[in-house]
This record gives sequence, C-alpha cells and structure tokens, in this order.
Amino acid sequence: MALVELEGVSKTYRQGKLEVPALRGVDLEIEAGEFTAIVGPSGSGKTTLLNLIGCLDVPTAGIVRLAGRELSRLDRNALADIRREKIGFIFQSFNLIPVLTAKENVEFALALLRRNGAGQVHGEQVTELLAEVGLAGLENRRPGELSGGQQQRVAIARALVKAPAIVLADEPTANLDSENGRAILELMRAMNERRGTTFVFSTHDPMVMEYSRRIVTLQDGRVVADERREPDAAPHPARCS
Amino acid sequence: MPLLIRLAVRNLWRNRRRTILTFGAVALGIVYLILVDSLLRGLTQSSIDNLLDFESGDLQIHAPGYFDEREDLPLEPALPVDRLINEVRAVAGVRAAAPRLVAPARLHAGWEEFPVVLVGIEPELDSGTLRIMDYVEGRAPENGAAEAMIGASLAELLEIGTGDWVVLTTRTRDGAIQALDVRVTGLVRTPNPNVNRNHVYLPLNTLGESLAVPGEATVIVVRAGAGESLKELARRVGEHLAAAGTAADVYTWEQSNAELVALIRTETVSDGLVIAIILAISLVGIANTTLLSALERRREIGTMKALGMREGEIVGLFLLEAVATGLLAVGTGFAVGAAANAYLVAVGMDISAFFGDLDVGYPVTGVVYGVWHPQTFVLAGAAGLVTCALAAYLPARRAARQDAAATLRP
Repeated sequence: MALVELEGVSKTYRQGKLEVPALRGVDLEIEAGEFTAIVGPSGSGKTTLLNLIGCLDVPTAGIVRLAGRELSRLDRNALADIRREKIGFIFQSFNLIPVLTAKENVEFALALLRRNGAGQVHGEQVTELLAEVGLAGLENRRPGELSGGQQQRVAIARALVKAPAIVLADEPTANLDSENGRAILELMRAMNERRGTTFVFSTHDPMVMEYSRRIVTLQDGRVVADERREPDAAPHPARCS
Repeated sequence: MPLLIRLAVRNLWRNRRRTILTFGAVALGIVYLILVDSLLRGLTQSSIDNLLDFESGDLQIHAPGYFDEREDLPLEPALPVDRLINEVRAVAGVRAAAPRLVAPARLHAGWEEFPVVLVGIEPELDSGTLRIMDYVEGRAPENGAAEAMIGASLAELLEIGTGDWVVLTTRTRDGAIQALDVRVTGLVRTPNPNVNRNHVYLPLNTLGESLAVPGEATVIVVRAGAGESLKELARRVGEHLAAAGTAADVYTWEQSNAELVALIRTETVSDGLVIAIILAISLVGIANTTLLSALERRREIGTMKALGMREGEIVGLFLLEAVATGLLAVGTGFAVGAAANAYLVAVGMDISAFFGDLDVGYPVTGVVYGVWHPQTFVLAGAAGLVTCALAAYLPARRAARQDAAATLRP
C-alpha cells in the first residue's frame, strides 16, 4: 500500500463568483521512502497538491489517503492530529517562530506531539539533531540571528524531530542562494537515505529536480509526466552540513 | 516553564510597547475602581457617622403621629421627657439617650434674617449621646438661660460671634408668634455641614417654656451599645415603652433618613457603572491587541496549524497571552491602587475644594477619607482577568480558524 494515494482528486477555489480549478482529477501514489519533486509552472497546482497531502486543505472531489486513512472523512482536529504526528513541513520562507530559539522551535513540534501522549525525544536528542543538520553551537539563537540557510536547517530539524511519515517541502530552496540550496538538498537527501523519511517537494528549482528520484510534472492541474530516476542518476549527498 | 507559556510571555515582550499600553489601560481602570470605590465608601461611612453622631443617633423615638409630619417640625404630638428618658435608658442595649425639642424658626441678626432649625437640648445628656459638644467653640448654653450656640457656617454668613445677641422668631404650640432674645455662647463647627449651616441649640427647658411645651420633647435620640442590631433594639424599646404605658414609635436611623439611604443605594449603582466602564476599557483594549497580534502573526498561526496545533490550542495560546496581560494589569493596578488608597486612608481628600459649601446630599464637609475594602480588590482583579479572557476569545477564535493553506502562501 502506498503512503500517499490520490484518486481523481480535484480542487476548485472560488474567488467571488469565479471558480478557479487548481487540480483536475489527479491520480498519484507516493511510496514510503521516496524523494519526489512536484514540478510545473506557476499555477499548475503544485502547492495545492502539497496542501491536500499535508491535510491543510480538503479536495473538492476525489479521495486523498495518507498511510491508508482517507483524509476527507476527518474533522479539523483529526487532521491537526495527523499533521502533528505524521507530517513534517518545510516552507519556502522557513516560517520559524521568531520568539523561540532554534532549539525551542524544534522542541515546539515535539511539545505538540507530547500533548498527544506520543514523542519520546528528549532535549539532548534535539541538540543532537540540530548538530546533525549542521547547527551545533547555534541552538540558542533566535531566527533573526540565523542566516537563511541556517533557518532552513532549523526547519528541517523541526520537520524531522517527530520522525514523521512524510516531509512536505514547498519550494525549500527558493529563498536560498545556490550554495545554501545545494547544502539543504544534500541534507534532505541524507536524511531520506539515513532515516528512510519520505520527502515530497514542490519546486521550480532545477537543482531540486537534479536531486530527486522521481519527478511528477503538473500542468493546468493535471499530471502530465511522472518520471522515476535510478538512484545513481541523482547526485549523492557529499556532506550533511 | 512549559513552552507554550514561554511562547506567550515572549509574544507579549515582542510588542512590549503595545503590551504596556494595553495592560496600562486596564491597570488604570482597576486603580480608578479601587480609588472611586474607596472614596465613595469613605463618603458613605463619614455621612453615616456624621448623621448618627450629630443629628439622629441610632434610634429616634417620636410620639405616635409625629413621624409622618416630621418634615414640618411640628411641636406636637410630643413626648413627656422625664417619664420617658429613664424608661428608655433602662432598656438593655441602650447606651445613651437624650431628649430634643426641634422647631422651625427665623434667626434675625441686625438686618439679616435666616431660616434655622431650633434644637432644644439637655447639654449633659446630649453630650453623652451625640457629639455636638465636642465641636463647640465657646461654651454650651446653660439650662434655663436665654443662651444659644449656633452653627459656625451660619454664624459666619450672618457675621455673628460669641457674645452677640440674636433674635429668634418662631411659633408656640398654640400658633402664637414668639420672639426669643438669646445671647450666643458658642459656635458649633462639626464635620456635618447641615448642623453648621442651620442649627441653633438652646437649653431644652428654655425652649420648651418659650414654645409652651415645657417638659416635652419631639424626639428622643438613642445610641445603641456596640454590636446591637438596631431593628431588634427598636423593637425592644418599643415593647418596653408600651409595657410602661407610654405610646411611642421607635425608628431606626435608616427609616428616618430614607433620602440618604437612597443616595447610598444610588452610589452602589454608580459603583456598577464604574465597573462597567472598566470592563469596556479592558474589552476594547484587549480585543484590539489580540486582533492586531492575530493579524501580524497570520503566517505564524498558519505554521502552528501546519505543525499540528489544534484550533482550540491556538485559541488557548492567545487566551494565555490575554490572561498574562490581565495579570500584569491586575498586579500593577493592585500595587498603584493600594499605594494611592493608603494615601487616601491616611491623608484623605479635601472635598471642599470641589464642592465648597454646596449641598451634595451627603452630610459631610472637609476631608473625606478612603477605606480599605478587600472585596473591591478581588472584584476589580477578577473583572480585569475575566474581561481580558473574554475580550481575547473572539479575535483568537477568528485567528485560529484562518485557512492555514492561505496564510502560508508566500
């Protein structure tokens, strides 16, 4: 059974009297452990697709399943619980909580998990994870005191700390220079290989596509191409920090 | 400290100027409530003390039928003093009792003429019952003498001093016009402006004989022992007098001074109004702060939702911030309010600066002192906190219900 299953998924936004279709009958399966890029021009439905998989939105038609659970049948609290337990997010603008330190930002995701009676990671492990993403010694800095690349590493640690089933990254390199972008991609690839975490990106960035093992192309809300690449075809992570 | 509390505290610190303004406004309301309540209670207490100590005593005994006509100060029906005073003083719970003969008159001093209230007193009994004698500049009139002491404000108005002679015109019980030539032996300067403004005190026997009601009084004022229930004491005195064969009605000061009691009740309503104003200030302040905060943190809220925070938990976070603001306000309000109230209790406030000789309905003049009333602190604190939480709820819920996907769009 695939980790993510989309069957005939459509999503239409209403802007006043105007109906804007974002996705039109998308069928897609993503297996656990994949490192997948969703690509396509602006307005093709990439972010909408990610939002549907990430339980941030519900489809107008069709079925979305995550780990076998049909998401459209769940209420808002149940969707929030799935997000806190099974999904990690990485955003283009990093979206760290500005008043919390790097370590506290990571602990925040963990604190939410603990409220559900789950999550056994301790403070030292958060520090270790931050070191693993290359932020040793920067744990107590606030986002405003970190570079864009460092902030994105904190976001990656925040996404991974709860050992999610899937990490959804929306244009994760868009606000980074190429050097930092590459480092971040290598880090995520390393985490994918080391931890087996599933990564799904939406991106315009050719470098992300270069690293991906599967590239799903959207156009006008439809999947127009689905290319799987051999592991060797993608650059191998040379470093983790 | 749990992470959510840390987050709430830092969010408040993040916009510290706004936080200070918000809790400052609420704290100001709390201080205002504490001080206004303290002064009003002080004013009420002083009014009651001044009324009881200088005019009415705790209980008043009248002849049957007098009470309904008391505004006109009639000379009859009156009470026999000698027989009654000892009966009253014999009742358990009565600390002191004194007869008074009260009548309307006009005071003439040279070309000036002024309406006054004549009060016939037995100085010795009166000094044990009321406190007029403690505030006499000069001396009390002697029994049987054509002497009087008059209210200090009246004396100043008519430019009368001790040793001066004045003429009092009034009517006897039979309706005959009576003019009394009396020498002023003392001025009465009490904290009760009614007494100072229009009371003229003569010896009871002098006045009684002049008005053709010798040995009679229109009222016997009674002071109760400490802790006595006035209603209960009034009942006992009434029963005792009835058993002794004397027809008399006994009233508590509250029954005799319904206007003042009504004014005090109005004050309770005004207290409620003050609380309502404070609640409104707090509501607007906190709602505005939460709304602004929610707008500014739109993406942050979206991120929290993406991380799996439930809407209720986001509402909880905003409420935590609102309650923390409320706690700051309550703390500051209590500290400033207590300090300012300590000053009011110790030094008081001179209300003559505001009202002068104006009759504002309360029998007080000069300095009004505040009182400590812990319940007001509790009420103000609770009102501040509850209002903060209530005011934050709707903006917080609105913030929490935002479409996370929309808020996360770059």
